[in-house]
Amino acid sequence: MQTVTLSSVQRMLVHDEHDVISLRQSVRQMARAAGLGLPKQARITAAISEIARMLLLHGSDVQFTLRVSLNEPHPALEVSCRLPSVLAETAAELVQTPLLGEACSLVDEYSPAQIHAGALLTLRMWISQS
Amino acid sequence: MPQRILVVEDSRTQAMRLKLELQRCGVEVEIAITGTAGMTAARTHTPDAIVLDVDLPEIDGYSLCRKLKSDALTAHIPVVMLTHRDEARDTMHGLEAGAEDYIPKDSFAEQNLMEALRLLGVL
Repeated sequence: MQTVTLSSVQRMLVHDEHDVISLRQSVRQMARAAGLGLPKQARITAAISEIARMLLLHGSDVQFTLRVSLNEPHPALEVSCRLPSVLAETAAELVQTPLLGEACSLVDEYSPAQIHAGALLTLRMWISQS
Repeated sequence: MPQRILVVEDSRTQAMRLKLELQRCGVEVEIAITGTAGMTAARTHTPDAIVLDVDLPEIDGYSLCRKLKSDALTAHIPVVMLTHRDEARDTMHGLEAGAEDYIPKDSFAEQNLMEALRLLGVL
């Protein structure tokens, strides 16, 4: 796995199950460091893990970007990943799929965005209301 | 001194497979086949890590994990849960109970468990 850390930004390329394990540990550590309580740590870690595992089933290497966003009104731990277009026609459809939909429902906020050849999915867990 | 891992697993077959795999990594392994026995073993021997099945007789893995994490003698011990249940919400429940990681019992479970223990600094 390639891991790049730029101050509070961490990028991880996931291409097998071992990388998913490592990703879970990183999300958990960053959530803890950001001050999220155990339930919120668990929810965002489970969501990201599920998304990564689902994407691996589709044979896709996926880059995840983890960062703490201090933007108002909700400072948050923010995790984004690029999803391949093979999963759905549009980003909006993507988050309606049962597995992704369940994963997204675990976090405080999620936003799919259409980009070239796929979608960018960003999940956010608010820091202020742990 | 070798690391010591407690495996709490009610399937003796599964427990022995895990024991052999962990012993190959130079780890000493103790097996408990019920949650109650697991709690006693954890408090008595304070292992370096605990591998915990979710579906256990007497007390389920989630409850046992919460007990371990609320007991001053065992709270510091890393717990990895091992389970047939692998939906996102199951993972969430395992992590909420205080487990450090949650590994599905699929065909790669043993390798994935080793990787999780390695990342936790146990192996």
